[in-house]
Amino acid sequence: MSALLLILLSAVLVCYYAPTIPALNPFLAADHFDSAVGIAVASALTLIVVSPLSYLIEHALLAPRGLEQLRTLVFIIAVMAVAQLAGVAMRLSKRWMPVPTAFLLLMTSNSAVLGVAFLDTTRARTFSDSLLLGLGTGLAFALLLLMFTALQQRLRYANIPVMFRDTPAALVTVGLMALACMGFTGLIRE
Amino acid sequence: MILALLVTAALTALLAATLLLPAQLSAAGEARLIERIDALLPQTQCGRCTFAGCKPYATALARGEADINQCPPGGPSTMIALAALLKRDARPVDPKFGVVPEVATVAWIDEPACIGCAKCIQVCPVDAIVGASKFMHTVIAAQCTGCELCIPPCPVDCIEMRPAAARA
Amino acid sequence: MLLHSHVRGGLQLVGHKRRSAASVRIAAAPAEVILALDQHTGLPAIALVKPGDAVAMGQPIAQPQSDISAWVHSPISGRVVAIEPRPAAHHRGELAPSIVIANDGEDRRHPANAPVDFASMDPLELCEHIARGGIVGLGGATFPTAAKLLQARACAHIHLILNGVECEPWISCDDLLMRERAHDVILGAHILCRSLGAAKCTIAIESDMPEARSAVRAALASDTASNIEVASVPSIYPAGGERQLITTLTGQEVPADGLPSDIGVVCQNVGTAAAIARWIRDGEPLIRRIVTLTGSGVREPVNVEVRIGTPLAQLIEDAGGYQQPIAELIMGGSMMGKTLPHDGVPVTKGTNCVIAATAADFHERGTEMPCIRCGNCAEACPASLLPQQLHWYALGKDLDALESHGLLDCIECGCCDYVCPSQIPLTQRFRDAKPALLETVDSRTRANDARLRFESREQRLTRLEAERRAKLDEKRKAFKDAR
Repeated sequence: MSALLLILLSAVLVCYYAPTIPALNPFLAADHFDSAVGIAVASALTLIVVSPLSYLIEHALLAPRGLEQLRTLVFIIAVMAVAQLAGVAMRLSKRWMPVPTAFLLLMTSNSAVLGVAFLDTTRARTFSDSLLLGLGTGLAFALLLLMFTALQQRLRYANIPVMFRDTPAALVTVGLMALACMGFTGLIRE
Repeated sequence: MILALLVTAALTALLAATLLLPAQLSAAGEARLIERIDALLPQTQCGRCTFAGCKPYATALARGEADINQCPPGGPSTMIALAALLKRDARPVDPKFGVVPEVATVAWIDEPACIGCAKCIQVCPVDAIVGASKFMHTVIAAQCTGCELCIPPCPVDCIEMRPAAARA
Repeated sequence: MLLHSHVRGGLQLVGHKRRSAASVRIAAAPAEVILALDQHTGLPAIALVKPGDAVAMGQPIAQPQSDISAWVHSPISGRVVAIEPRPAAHHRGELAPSIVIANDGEDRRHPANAPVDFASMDPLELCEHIARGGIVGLGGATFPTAAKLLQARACAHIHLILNGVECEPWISCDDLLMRERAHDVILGAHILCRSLGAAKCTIAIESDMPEARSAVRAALASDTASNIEVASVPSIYPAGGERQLITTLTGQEVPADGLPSDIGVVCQNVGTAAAIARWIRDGEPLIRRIVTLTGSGVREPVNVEVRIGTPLAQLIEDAGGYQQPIAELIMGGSMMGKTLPHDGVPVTKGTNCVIAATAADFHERGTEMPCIRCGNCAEACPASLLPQQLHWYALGKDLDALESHGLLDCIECGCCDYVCPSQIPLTQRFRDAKPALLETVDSRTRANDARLRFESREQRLTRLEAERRAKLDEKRKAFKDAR
């Protein structure tokens, strides 16, 4: 019994701990608008590439051979590869700023990236579906990231109580933004 | 089962291959970064950072060959700006590179004592000393950056640093 | 004349100007005048006289130190008593080097000051003559007029605007000037047009000054030249701010890092124009000006023509003295005026108004509360800034953000202060934050200059080195050939 409680407690703490590491949370890593633009573009690129790629992997590689149980592992590897390529593409551009620490980890653990890969398997019926899904998710994520950074900049000098500074305020902001976005559900009947 | 393992191995190999890709900035990106860093430096051109001027220091910073706390004339504000740009941790300016000046100072030549040897003119990195051999030397205070490079070469020790006048 | 654009932001304020609408009174010359050497923008003037010298009325007693500086003339005839630090109004009672002159009561004029015929003068000479009259901007900024004219002359097609938009509450000196001395203002307009080569002149008058408008129109009716027109501007504070007025009249914005002459406009106060007219037509330099003396603390609010350097205490005494104990003594208007610690300061060229305010005249300011992000300040700002953001960045001392949000464009009008429900002293915050920002901008300019000089020095040294090597190579070659 005590072992189960311990597992429950550690899961709760770990769950709360994970978002606070900037390397794992793209929202916290973007402290300045300029570096946020860099992360937004890189994330958008990653999303746009991952979506059709995961569709192809699923339908050309995994499904015909009945390897669905490998899906998680394969998708993660694919996402890491694409993230690395996105990082290289950003470095080659003239405007790139020095890379934030653990950039690769940032891109990979971004749940939107992995999420869109899995979403493809349920939502996308054709290849063009997956392309548009990737494009839409990429642009949406970039927009949300930039909006969030702008909000953070506005609140930077606000008199937030010590207990709520940094992560709690960021999570509240993200939660409110999510609520606002949920207002769009039901706009398009599927 | 074997096929599953083979697919996984192939994809892992692909990932490893991408990890071998160049991690450096392109030449144009690096030049732009050096410019950005140079814009944050105070342009004193004093050489206290052990580089021959602010641009060489900026180049070394861009390539990761120097640390951000090597600039005493820039002081803590420059170091913080560099830390923000280069995503490194902020730390105090290392005293082994020099003391952070409290007030801005400019060089001043005691004209009666000057012998006109022109040694200070040759070393001034921004040509702020006017004069010629056997003629009076004087420092254009508005152009002096306070680098103190003119003080060691003077054979009669007639140059001293004075607080800079408040700019109108 | 149709206005090109409406006034942005701003406030409708109660004017309190009708109280001081009586005719301009000429004040008696004081027993002693105190003339600060730095009562104009730019470098202080350098004294030409020493204690014990006899001076005549209108005699130059201090000369300009640089291009942006001004002559100072004695407003009375008498003897120089001392040149020493004295309390100055524009330093809020702090000491400033001043020339003190005792009056001998004769008002002897300086013989060298003679009227000139401006119509036949070369425009450049006319500008320099205006400088010798000690003329500075009488709207409050006290910028040496000749420096402004000389700088603006380089542009072709200048549009001259005479600023009669006295938008700040309590001040009515320009109103009375236009009502009673409209001819001086028109003559000043002609002189300025000649010195600038301006083809067009607009006299802007606030819409709630109908008497001034009809007086100026009447004076224009008898004027032969037809290049002057009158424009009526809505009575919104601060429509009379130079940049705001230019945008309202011409529709163009003065660039943030530039001057009005960059878009071909020169703006002068009507008082400045009248002072120029007096100097050119009568040979009298800037030695007196109209000052509004108002507030519930004086017996009779009035506009007085007073000699520069008259002690405020004497001015108030002559006007009947204090009626009640006053809560505040303000030099300037209620929005941008400076509180004086005592009345032992003299009138300067920039004194347009003195308010002897009792507690009933002004609202008590409440204690400062946290910003509630209501946005009233942004609606009221006439310079289209975001005072709320500037407030946060000023608190956080974020100089880059302050610069990009335009702190240096703040005209310190006080509109945001006035509307803030949390009673935050925004104008004072911005005033305090500006020096640090100016220092940063200044050091960046200096660093850029140092970089350029360093790079050109490097190029010169490389070139010299290359030349030296080339010469040595030639010598070696010649030596080899000779062998």
